[in-house]
Amino acid sequence: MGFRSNLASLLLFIIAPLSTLTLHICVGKYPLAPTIIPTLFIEKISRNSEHALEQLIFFNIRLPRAVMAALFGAAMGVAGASLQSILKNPLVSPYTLGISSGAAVGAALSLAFNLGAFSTEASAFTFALLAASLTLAISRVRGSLSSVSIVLAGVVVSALFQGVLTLIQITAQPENVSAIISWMAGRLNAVTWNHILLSTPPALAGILGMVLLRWRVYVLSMGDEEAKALGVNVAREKIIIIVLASLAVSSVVTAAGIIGWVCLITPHLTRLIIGSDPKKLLPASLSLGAAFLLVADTLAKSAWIYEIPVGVVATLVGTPLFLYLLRRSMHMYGG
Amino acid sequence: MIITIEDLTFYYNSMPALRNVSLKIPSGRLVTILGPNGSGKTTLLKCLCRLLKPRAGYVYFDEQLIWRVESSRFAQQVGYVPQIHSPPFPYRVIDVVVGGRTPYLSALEMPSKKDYEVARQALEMIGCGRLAERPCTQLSGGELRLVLIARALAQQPKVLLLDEPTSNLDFKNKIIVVNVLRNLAEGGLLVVATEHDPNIAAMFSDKVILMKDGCIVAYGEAHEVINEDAVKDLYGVDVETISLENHGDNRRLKLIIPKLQRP
Repeated sequence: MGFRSNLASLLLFIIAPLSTLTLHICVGKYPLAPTIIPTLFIEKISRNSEHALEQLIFFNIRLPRAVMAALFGAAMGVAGASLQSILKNPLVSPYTLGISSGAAVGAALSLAFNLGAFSTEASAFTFALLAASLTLAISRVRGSLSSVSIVLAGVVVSALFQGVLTLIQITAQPENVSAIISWMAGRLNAVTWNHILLSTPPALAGILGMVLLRWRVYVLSMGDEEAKALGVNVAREKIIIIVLASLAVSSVVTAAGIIGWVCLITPHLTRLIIGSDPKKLLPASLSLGAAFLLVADTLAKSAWIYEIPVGVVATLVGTPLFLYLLRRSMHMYGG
Repeated sequence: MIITIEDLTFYYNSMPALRNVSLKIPSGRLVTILGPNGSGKTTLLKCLCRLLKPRAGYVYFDEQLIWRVESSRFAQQVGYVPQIHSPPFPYRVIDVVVGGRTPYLSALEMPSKKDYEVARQALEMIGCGRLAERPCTQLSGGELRLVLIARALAQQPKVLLLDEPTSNLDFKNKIIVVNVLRNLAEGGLLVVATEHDPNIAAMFSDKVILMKDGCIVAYGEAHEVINEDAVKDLYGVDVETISLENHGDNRRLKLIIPKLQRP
């Protein structure tokens, strides 16, 4: 409450993603000074090619990658926090619904049969949503939608798609297999403006929807019975939130591959920083998710002589951080 | 508000839990549903707050059939306090209590300053104002129960339904909770609670409903309904009565205690 917490929120919501975005854009084989960025925008608009090389690097390579990283982190942060809340389970992530395995199968099918660049995205997106719908369909027992059944259904659907994925990898040509594996490792480095144009509208729709519904997300975290007693239509609102989360996650995974840990760690990190304020959790998860992935990707592209897949960095940074946070906050979960 | 129940029947799969229950509960009272485990107390309570949909029969609040009321309007009239609440995340107490304002909010709406004010008043009303900023994961069982009652009060209901509000509480907290309920009933709220202890039911409630095997075996003023024979019949336990002449404000108090069989 009060001035200090408002200032802290402001810092978190605005400064963290903006500063990490700038950091991400400026760091690289060809470092850019942050001060040159306004100049580049002005030159771009006035068609001045004084800094032609910098313009090329900034607009064609750095900016799309940074925007995608931010969008990915934001979508994962919000979807992770929403799902953990409505399923009352701090270990759930959007991937629990089978979205990642679905997307992987979709991409693998397209890559194994050489269907061309954008049909990979279309196929991954379709299969990601298909997996999420399958999870929802299986988990609906007699009109009710319990959290346990959703998580179990997600595990079953993930296993099913994992099996299919293995089958595809075994039967595919070796060069296609390596394409599949590198697709799955996360590929922010291959992101183009086309990817961003395609994935931004559904991702933003999902993110915005969840943030707007954040009070309902909070009430659902009290459990089905209590939410019902508070006048909430539990099954309908759970489905709406799961659909929004699936939409956001599927669209960013489609563009950038499967990057783990952001979705799991962001909500916990957020709760540790801002507490469990139900009004702030989702907006803060959005900012922190974006910031976390921007930092991870900055490391991914600059920490070693060649690029490390960002999914690997996110896992390597995320796992110890997560363990540390978990041990520190164990008492809050009654452990 | 008056609750009218007509021929209420409920089955869990094929097991009957309520058989043709009919009842009229007048407003502004503390009514206790007493009965052994599995007698249908909780089922009856959950049928009243629409958490369970009965197989047959009707429940009216005043003249209104409850299943015809829109769900958020229903929640503006009926507050429910669950027996067990496991806080999923360390929310602050005030945030939990302001959850009771949800029936007054549209889907995209956040609680306003006024809603937080109502929540604070609800906490004050039951003497828990000091808990407002504490995380609910660090409360004692008694405090958590009171916080949940405060959340139901923030709904500003006409009826308060509680599932075993005194269970798993220590001696003192039991009395605190029951006194809070007593005060709310004196203030005009209709309070209906399930209870395990015949003496607590007899001491604090106005009316008592005795239930056994999904049926109502007795319903009436607490001191008339609860007696040695009724309790013996309800629980199948040999009991005896001790009378206290000058209890509290010079009331006569009867306590029913089990006959101990020691070798």
